[in-house]
Amino acid sequence: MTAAAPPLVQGGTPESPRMRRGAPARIRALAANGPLFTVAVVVLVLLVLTAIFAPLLAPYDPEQINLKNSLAGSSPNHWLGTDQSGRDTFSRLLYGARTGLLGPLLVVGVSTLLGIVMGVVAAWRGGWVDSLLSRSMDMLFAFPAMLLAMLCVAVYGAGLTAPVIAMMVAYTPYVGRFVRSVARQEQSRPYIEAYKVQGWSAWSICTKHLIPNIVPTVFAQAAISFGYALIELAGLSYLGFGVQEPTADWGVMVNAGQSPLVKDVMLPAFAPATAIVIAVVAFGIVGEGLADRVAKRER
Amino acid sequence: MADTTKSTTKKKNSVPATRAADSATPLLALDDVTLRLPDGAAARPILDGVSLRVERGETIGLVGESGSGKSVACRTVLGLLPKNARTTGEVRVEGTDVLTAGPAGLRDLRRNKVSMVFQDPRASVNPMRRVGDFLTEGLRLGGMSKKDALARAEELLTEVGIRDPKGALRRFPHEFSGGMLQRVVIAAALTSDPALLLADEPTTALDVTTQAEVVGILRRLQATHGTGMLFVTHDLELAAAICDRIYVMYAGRIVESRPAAELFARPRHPYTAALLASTPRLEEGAEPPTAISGRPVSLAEAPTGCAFADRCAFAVDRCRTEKPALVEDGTGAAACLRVEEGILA
Amino acid sequence: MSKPKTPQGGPEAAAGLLEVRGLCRTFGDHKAVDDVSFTLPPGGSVGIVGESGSGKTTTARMIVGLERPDGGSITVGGRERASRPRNRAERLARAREVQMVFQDPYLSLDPRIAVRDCLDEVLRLHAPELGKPGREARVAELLDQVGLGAREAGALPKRLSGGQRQRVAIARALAANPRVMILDEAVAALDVSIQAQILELLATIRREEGIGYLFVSHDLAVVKHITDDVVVLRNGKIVESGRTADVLSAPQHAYTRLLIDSVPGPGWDPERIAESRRALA
Repeated sequence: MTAAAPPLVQGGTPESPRMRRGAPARIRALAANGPLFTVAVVVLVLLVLTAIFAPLLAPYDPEQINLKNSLAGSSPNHWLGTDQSGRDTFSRLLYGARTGLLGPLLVVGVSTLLGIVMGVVAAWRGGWVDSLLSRSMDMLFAFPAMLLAMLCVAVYGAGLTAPVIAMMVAYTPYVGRFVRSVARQEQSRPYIEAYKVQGWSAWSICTKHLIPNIVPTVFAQAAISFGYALIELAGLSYLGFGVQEPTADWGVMVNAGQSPLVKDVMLPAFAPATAIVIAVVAFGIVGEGLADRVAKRER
Repeated sequence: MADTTKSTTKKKNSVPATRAADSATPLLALDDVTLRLPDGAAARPILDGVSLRVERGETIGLVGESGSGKSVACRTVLGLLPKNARTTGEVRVEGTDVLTAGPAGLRDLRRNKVSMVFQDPRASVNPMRRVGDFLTEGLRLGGMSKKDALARAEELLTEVGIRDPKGALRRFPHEFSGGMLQRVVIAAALTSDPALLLADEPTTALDVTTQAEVVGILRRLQATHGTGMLFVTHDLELAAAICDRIYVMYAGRIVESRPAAELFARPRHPYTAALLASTPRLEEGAEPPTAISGRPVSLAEAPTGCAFADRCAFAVDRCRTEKPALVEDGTGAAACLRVEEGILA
Repeated sequence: MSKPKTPQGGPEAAAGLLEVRGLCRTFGDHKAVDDVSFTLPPGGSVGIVGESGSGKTTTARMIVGLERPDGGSITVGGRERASRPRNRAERLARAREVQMVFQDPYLSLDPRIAVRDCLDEVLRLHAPELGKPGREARVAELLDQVGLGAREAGALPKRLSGGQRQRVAIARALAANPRVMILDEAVAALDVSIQAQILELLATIRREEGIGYLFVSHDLAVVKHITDDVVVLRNGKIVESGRTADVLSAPQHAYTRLLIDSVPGPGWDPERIAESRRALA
């Protein structure tokens, strides 16, 4: 607080526009380790448990068709009613958490791993290596994720695999760019230079010191991108490029719930849509909260 | 419209004499200011019973190490308090209490009476705006026409020693060196023709030769405008070279105050003396610096009794239990239980 | 392990421990360092003084190997180190020649590593023959040497004050058992009362270990008290060099004079300094 105190390191980290896109500033501000953060963490834990234990929790088989009971309203038997084919919406919602989380997990996991490697190599080597990696990341950037996904679907056919691969390819440059800027900032700190002066190899410094020090920041961003991957995969399923009927998937469910909307039956579309929103917001809050913590922890 | 507003703001050519007319009330008076952060994880006292005076046209030094609370004390003058801070005591600028002033009062204070120059000029200007916009925005807010504001800005830039002020107005902050940018910041601080200038380590980020120039400019401007200045620094030598009177802070309290030359020649508080002894000196035959053991503490960490007792070579048992009051003596005041004993003589 | 490295006879004693000859470095079209030469005698202490942009930090970084010079030579004990190290052995050998203490104690320690492990790492790299008990003993010895105790040993850097961190940074540099230590504004970020402590510590270490110091600083008063010789840099060039006492008491170059006059003290006259600065520009 006094001016003679050594300058504090700025905690902020460079951000990629896409990773931040849309997250309302107000939610971000609230997320700063308040009760909202705790609630979001609880929601995510419940979501993961749901995905794991869906077969135990679901009252019905999510794919069991019962045309006699089409578009039933909420009742003690069917908490969230049924869809056009008479399938239990609640059960489908629970099972939907599985594809809902698995897809983004693969996308974010793989792209984060690749992004860390590319970003750190680019930042550390600099020069032509940096130019080459940065330019190739830019090229990937130029490709819209959706277009890439459709191409992948055309090649591999619809399902979870093709969109996930496409999204991995699309997300890697974002992570790579982000990691590159974080790593550049980190490696300019004298403690990394001190390791160089001590005679450590580049490999040791990067793997033992540089990466562990940037990983919390990168993970916080990964949590935010997780929400976006979730919503984009759900969007692809909704458009018919992703998971296909009859598999329970939130995107598929929203799509299937469209026609009942005309008949004023809201639940089949609203239930999965709400689930998507809650999951995305929860990931956003947790990601922002983690980023804030990292920034505070800095010194 | 422009004319009526102009008459309410101070005339730019007002001389020290007109300011001194109201000499009964000091320009700046801190009276027994206590500041603490409220309950919760960060709860801690920051300032304890800080009192100081700045008269019109005077340069007052506020010297201390990290944790001394010198910057916090300085910021209270603008009503810039840490979040949720609780204060007691009074901070009066020309008789008006800052701590109880509402938002409108604070705005008036910041716009018309008090300006501040910070340590890092880069952090205190918007990097995306031209220097001209930065300098004229305050004047325009005051109702001045764009043409007049630009003319005034040019005048101020000339005053702070920037060659080609016309060209400077069109440039961006990054096109200036640190020293040049600090001059721009000083010029900006003077646009409102303030009665009081707060300078918080204004030269710490600058090279020594640049520091000398910037301080020279500050002193000259102060003389011509009759501005009072509170100069916050960790550098006792610098403070002694430019200030009329110096307050030394340690752990949120003022431990000694004295005219600069007197403080330098005959410090009465052991901390002041130790600080002087630990400052490396350039004069020929100067003794090598003598370290003070331990490290400077903040008020929250300070022991009961005298905060400096643990580091003090003269401390006796009662120094650790009894809090010394700031006692007036012939030339100033010192807060040391043993000051009467002439321990430093 | 910590026995003093007293200067031995032979070419080294004659030539000086660290020899810098005609050092140059250009960034773009800006000559950051331009034909800088000086000698650090064994166990000596040389100050490199200058303002920002003088090239003093670039010079230090080239000597320690964080920057490659465009031209000139840097030798320690006769061994050239201006080029890139060819292999691991050479890299480690160079690390044992020159170590560095950085300016900002808040950024120069790995935030994840406790003090003890920070020193242990260096020993594992540079003194593998010690073994675990040997390293532990040496860590304790190093900590003791810089005035830190067991309590600080287990702490993460964020639990330490600026002065304590700088002590850790010094211990870390000492752990590699270097012959030359570069102190890059090593006391500039510290409170005055702490600065004096670190200066005393550095003086003691130099006396005991016989390490040569290269003290990079903008602060003439500090340089006066910690160096034997001084090199004054301006815009990448040496404007004056010699015994510190001589240069400070009877500066030959107008710029040195200006630097000395600029330091606040009795009779300080900012107006006159500004004038002579303009005259020099």
